[in-house]
Amino acid sequence: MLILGAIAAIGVEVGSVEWKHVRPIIEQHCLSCHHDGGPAPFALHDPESVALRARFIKEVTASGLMPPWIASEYGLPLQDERGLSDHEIGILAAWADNAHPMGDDLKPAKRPPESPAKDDVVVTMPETWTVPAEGKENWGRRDRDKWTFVLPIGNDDAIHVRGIQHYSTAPQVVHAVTYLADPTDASQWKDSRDDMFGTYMTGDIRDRPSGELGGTGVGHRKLRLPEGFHWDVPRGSDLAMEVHYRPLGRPLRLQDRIAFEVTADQNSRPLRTLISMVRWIDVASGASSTVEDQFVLEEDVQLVGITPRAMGTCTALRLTASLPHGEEVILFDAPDWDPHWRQTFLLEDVYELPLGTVIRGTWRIVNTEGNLRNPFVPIERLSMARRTGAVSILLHVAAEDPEADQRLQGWHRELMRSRMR
Amino acid sequence: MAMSCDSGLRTRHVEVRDTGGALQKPLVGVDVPFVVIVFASPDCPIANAIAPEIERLHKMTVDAGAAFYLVHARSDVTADTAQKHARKFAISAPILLDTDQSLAKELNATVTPEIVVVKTDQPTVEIIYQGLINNLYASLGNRRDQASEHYAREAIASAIVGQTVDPAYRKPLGCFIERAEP
Ligand code: HEC
Repeated sequence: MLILGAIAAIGVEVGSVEWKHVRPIIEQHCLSCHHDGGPAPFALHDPESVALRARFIKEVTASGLMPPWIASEYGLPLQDERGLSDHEIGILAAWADNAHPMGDDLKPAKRPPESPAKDDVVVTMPETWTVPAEGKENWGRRDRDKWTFVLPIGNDDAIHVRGIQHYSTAPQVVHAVTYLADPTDASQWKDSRDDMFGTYMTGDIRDRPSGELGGTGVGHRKLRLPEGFHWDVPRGSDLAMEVHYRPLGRPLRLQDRIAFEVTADQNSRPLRTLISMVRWIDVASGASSTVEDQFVLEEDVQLVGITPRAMGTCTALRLTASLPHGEEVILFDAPDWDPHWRQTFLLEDVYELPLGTVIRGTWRIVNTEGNLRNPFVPIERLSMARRTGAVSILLHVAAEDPEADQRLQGWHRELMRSRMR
Repeated sequence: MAMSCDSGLRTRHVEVRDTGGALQKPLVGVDVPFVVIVFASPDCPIANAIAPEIERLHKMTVDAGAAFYLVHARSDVTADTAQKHARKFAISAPILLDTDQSLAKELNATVTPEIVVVKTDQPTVEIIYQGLINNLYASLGNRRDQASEHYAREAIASAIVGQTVDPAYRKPLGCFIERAEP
């Protein structure tokens, strides 16, 4: 009976699953990362390389580890969602269980073509930086495999950025990266405080969060806003870039390049960043706690994307909206939060948030050893603060018109100020 | 010395080729008190992440007058691939190509990285520690910034002074060693 069930679930007789059934699953769900020179540790083009890992692939797909995707289906629909159907998981499992028969069709898996990037303005790290072979203790903290770099853009005029593409010299070590355009000297100053290129400090500039210009993640190095929206890069800006990396066991040279696609659309509207955040968290060793933030929108806005920011002590986070007419909407939900796979999530469709909407962020903090992502071993008291939130979720929004945009910015500045008190 | 099997029916005469093509009997351990074997793979992120630790363990073992081998138990890993990998990750240990997985089967190695510390200065083969190298990974996909427990170092330190290790087995975590067809 069980075996019959298995046949029904995958629609192919278990014994007859061959490479030709496996290939389309690999092409659609794995090759965006597991290609030659990609961010994943091995390529999965050849049937032999897939067969060589058949059992391992069964394991990581059945457990949901691969393909990585941290958002649940309860939030708003997102662009480039990843995930396997039970049917697909069943095919991979059946192939592994049956000693991965090849069949006659041995065509390798091919990566689906990507739309070409428009690299209008390109900035490159002015120096190289060496990613260490192993994680180090940094300033007494153990959650700090990150480094912030400052890249002068040198733009004589403001530019309106619609797309960002990150090209890395070491794609396998670079994980979440968040960006911010800084027209002041602040980020240069931070970087100049010692002889090293870059700084261990965050990429925030005062109460402006790194990630204002979005963030890219593993296998997701390109952000392209929907038509009619842009990120503002004031003239003479530096690009401050907070890079989270995962040491690979050998030192690697990093000299990344960031390309902007610029829009000339006069009607394009700038995205502003609203922050749902908890400034300070303090959780005893072995304890858990749920922290929350809420604010009321004082302007009609359109929500374009979401950038969650929290480390591994956070195990779940969620952003909800109570709309003025009473409806509760889950905007974003990560029930099994893993900072390793974070990025900016662009919505499939722009979402209207009217004035009077209550925006609520919730974070579950689990400071125990049972939380396998707790970067602190042995467990100690977790007490941390960041002006832009020890935990936060950035909302990338646009106001209706320039006047509303001014009001929105003034109101959010005040909100940030009130949180400092 | 005439015995070829221990009470666990473990044959100590498994032969594996090194990257120079010579046949080695890693479990015989001529004139060494113990042998350390680490199963690795050129493209397993979990094994590669601890390459510096593997090299430290190698140094520690050799300094104690014992033998150390890095083993690739995969049919597609050639001497050339293995040597390139070792150079890239600065591992200077001798490398064995367990192409038919006879050593992996003999030792019941299941994943990479996995360490086996074998006492060889007695008639029978005795595994004094097997499994996890450290706690850098909390589980598959969950990697800490740093390891805080160093099981393999402790096991080798025990082997050096002739003590037992408790527990003698810690379930290793890493990339599966896919069994070649029987
Ligand atoms: C978004 C990029 C991405 C996608 C898509 C992806 N992988 Fe991975 N995969 C990775 C990275 C990066 C690693 C290295 C481990 C890590 O970073 O946690 C990895 C590791 C693995 C591993 C080794 C397990 C481990 O934890 O190291 C296997 C097996 C694997 N992937 C299989 C797959 C399969 C099968 C698919 C498609 C169903 C897939 N992956 C899709 C990025 C990806």
